Amino acid sequence: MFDSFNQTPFLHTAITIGSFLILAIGLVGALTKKNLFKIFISFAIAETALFIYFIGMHFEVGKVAPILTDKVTQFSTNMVDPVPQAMILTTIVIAIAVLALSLSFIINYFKLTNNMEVDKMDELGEDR
Amino acid sequence: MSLILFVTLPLLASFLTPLFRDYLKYISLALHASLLLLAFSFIGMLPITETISFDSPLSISFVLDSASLFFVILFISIMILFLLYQIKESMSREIFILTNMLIASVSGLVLSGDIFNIYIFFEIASITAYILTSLNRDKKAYSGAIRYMIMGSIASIFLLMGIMSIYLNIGSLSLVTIADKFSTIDSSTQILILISLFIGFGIKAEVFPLNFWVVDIYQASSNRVNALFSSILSKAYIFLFFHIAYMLHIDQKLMWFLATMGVISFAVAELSALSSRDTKRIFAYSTLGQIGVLFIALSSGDQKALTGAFFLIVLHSITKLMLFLSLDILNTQFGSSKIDIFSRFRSTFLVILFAIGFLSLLGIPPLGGFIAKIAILEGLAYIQSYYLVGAILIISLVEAVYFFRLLGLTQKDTQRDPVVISLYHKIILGSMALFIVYLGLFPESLLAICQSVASSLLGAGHV
Amino acid sequence: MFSFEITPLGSLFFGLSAIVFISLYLIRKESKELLLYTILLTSLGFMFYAHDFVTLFVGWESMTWSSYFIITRKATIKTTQKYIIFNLGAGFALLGAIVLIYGATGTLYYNEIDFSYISPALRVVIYILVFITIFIKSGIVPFHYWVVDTYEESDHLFSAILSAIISKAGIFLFILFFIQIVGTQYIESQLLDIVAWLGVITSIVATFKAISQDSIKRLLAYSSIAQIGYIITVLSILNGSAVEAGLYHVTIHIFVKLLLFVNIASIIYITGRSQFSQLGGLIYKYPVLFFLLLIGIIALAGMPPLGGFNSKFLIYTTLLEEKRALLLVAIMFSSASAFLYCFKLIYGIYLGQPTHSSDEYKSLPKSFYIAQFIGAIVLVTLGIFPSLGIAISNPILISLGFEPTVYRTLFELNSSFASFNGGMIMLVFVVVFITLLIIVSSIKNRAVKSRDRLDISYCGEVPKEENNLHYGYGIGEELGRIGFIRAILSNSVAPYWEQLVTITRDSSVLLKKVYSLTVQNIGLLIVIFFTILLFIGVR
Repeated sequence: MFDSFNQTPFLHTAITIGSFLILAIGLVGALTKKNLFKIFISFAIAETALFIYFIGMHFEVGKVAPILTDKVTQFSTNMVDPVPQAMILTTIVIAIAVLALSLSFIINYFKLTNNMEVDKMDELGEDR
Repeated sequence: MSLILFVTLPLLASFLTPLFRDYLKYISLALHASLLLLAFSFIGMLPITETISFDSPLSISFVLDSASLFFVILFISIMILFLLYQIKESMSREIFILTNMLIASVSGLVLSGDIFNIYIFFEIASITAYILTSLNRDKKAYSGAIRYMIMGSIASIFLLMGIMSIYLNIGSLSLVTIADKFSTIDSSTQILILISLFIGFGIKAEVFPLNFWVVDIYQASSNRVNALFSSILSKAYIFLFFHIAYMLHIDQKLMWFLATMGVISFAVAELSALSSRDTKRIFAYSTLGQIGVLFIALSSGDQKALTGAFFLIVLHSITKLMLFLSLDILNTQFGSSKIDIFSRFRSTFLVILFAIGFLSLLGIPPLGGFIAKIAILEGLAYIQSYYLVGAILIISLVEAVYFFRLLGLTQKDTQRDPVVISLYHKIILGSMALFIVYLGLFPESLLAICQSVASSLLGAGHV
Repeated sequence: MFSFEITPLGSLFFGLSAIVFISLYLIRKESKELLLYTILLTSLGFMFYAHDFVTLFVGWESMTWSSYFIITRKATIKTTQKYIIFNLGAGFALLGAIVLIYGATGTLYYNEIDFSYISPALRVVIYILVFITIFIKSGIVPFHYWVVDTYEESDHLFSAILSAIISKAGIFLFILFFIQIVGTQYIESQLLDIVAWLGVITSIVATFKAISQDSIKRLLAYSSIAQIGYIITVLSILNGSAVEAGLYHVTIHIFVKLLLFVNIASIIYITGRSQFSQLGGLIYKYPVLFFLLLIGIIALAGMPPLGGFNSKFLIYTTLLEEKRALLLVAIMFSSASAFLYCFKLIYGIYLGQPTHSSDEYKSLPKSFYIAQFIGAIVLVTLGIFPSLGIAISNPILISLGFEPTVYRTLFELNSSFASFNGGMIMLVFVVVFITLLIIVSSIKNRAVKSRDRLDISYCGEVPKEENNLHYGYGIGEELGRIGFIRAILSNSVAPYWEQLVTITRDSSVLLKKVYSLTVQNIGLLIVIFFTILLFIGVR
């Protein structure tokens, strides 16, 4: 029975819908939440959605992860395309770095102003 | 001599910071000077494609054509001028590392030959920019940095969406292959990709309606950092934007759309500057306005207009560097960035600097900005975009209002304090001003260079 | 990058400018201003001797900004803003015309541009742009908003340059562009009609506004606008005699205004006052200055025996030849009304009763006289040898492709309707003048001299210190009773321009809000923008 779910197009559709939902959650969170931490975590969620989408769309049923070992020294055709995986790994690293940087900014900002709400950030503007 | 050196040498130097102890500023100057020499050594050898690693489709390549070389030389020269200006002050480690990262990432952006590498350097440049914004370490700086990061994250998400769609549909990351195969994608996906890329690159390239965040950031950072943003960072993103645009052979209607966005950018920015009372914000609005003009010129597809656009890029970088550094002198002396500091200082030297800077931005002869403007307008008139010509001229008049208001304030009869500028600073700033005048009177050589850059951009994607 | 050509037209303008500069330089020698004045003269050189439009434009804009820096030394910010915005508007309009010409013909050299290649619609746009440039620079209604305040608030000697030379930049452009480059066959006559009437309307309005001013410099400013209006009108005829008349009037006007402004500068220097109501009766202490102003007035009003008459004569002749009766009547009306402000000028300052004691008067450096004598000599010379002006403008006519005017002797001025002998008229005038002078001075010794300025007891009154006995300053006050003149005097273009300023400022405040949005709102806008673009794109 589960074979009908184990088809590539179905998988792709599920991934598409799922990642779109997560992207929506992430963007909505980023654009409506007031707490600074929540905004950046929401961005992380949105980026996760993109990662899932990308990897998922390259996955085909019956294929293997593109990992080379002592025995398998060449990329073969029953492996999934390795390029997106490499791309996403790099992107995840970048996203982590950016997130860490943002958190450090938030901490420093809080130390100076005791403010965690993005609405109350009024230091910049025409009359300051 | 490899192209990777532009990226790896500055990063390597940053890693070795603890070793350099007190000699940071000299190392920095030496590093950038040698990079500049390296760049000049490539002049006769264009175009170059350097493949860094493995086989397709994983290959990472760096491509050097006359446009990229032009920008690499421009960025490194501006950085050298910036460092020379600061040579009498001790250089903190952060500045050393960040300036190196800036050059590395911006060179990577311009030289990179595949789209994912572009994304990587895009992110590195963004991180550098975030940290640069926060360097003052006060409330405004962190507030600005956080806002910048939020906008930057939105940009990354859209950019990533675009890149992923490209790879999903074309199967390769190399720019050349993408340029070839882009037209084979079905048109609604093409639109999706183009819009995502527009928003992703456009947020950083600061075009309307994606540039509402810029002015606050300029207010948050120190003026030195603003000089770097205005001269180097925004130009890199603009070049990137149009490099990709011409590579993908987007059609006339989309180019027209970009031009319209440019006009609206210019108009809204200059009109907003009229009622602004903060000098840093005024300069930020002016930068946004000039970016609007660049968008109009670069999207026209006409050789002469593009030549003018690149000339304007050179001019604008030097002018904004000079203006922000001069504004820095005023802001530190008076502790305020409100518009009335212009009526509180007495220094003929500064007035002349500001006058040359403002007149060049307005495009008034005999300064360099005029050459850029007339080339752009001639190009636009040649392709019969008369409305664009009229729009640029009318909005320039709006620009004139607030610039001359600032100049008028310097002549008002009020209580004035003299400004102390060291002779060294005067020499550096003065030579920048003289260069602007020189380019206005003898523009031929730079015009020829810009012309070849324009041809290479127009021919991009045809390999 | 620049190209130059020494043309007779350029040489006339540049030569006259150089004379004015030199005579003024002898008066004022501050070093900062010297640099700016040199830049101004150099840019005029670029403009007058240019052989392509880029060089012309470089000279034009450099003239604008170097004048700006000279003006800001004395003027208020509001006035300098008005000056620079209008003049940059003129500059950008010119730039627009230039790039349009380039876009259509591919070249900007004067001798290579051929207007037959440009479509008629584009041609009209170019002409309108160039006319806007000329109108703004020359102060034609409704673009004259900047002129009067700028003249009034600048340094007095610079006002002389503004009036004598910079106002002629528009005239130069007119002749250069429409006659030399475009050629008369490509211009629609309706456009020229509008131009002619604008010139006449300007001169009528400016004349009456001049009469009602109390500030001397404002009167002279309006007078300059009016005189330029005559030139614009006559030049719109676009033939040889029009150019001749226009150039003659240019020459006269340059020296008239040089003389008048330096004279006024002298008065302001001496007395420290610049309003008619505060001056009066200065003829007794400064008869030479009075006489010099008298020469200026006679030339300004266009009366024989001085050169001013010749140019008016030629203007009327040109209009008559072309049978433009209405224009002629209007110009004559304006010219005749000009007598009123000419008279006010001399009466308000030199004649009438003194308004204050002359204790704080400074003594005038001799250098002020040089410029005035130069002006006076030129005006008298042109009065005696009227065809001298014809001889000067003949090479220009030839270079523009018109027939040179033939004249028999330098003493005579001939036209198709009449001719007169300037030398003879001057001779008669001088003889009569000297005769009357002898008669009056011999009678004068029998008149009673008053002891001080308040001594008018022979009139049966004893005035107090604050009574202003100098009624001459009020010349023109009662003119407001005439409905037509009241309409001119009470209306002004200021509200319309101010409204433009207000609209721009309001839109600025409105648009600025967009840059103060919170980041989240911006993000929201971006996402909305994305979806909108998506819908439009996929459709």
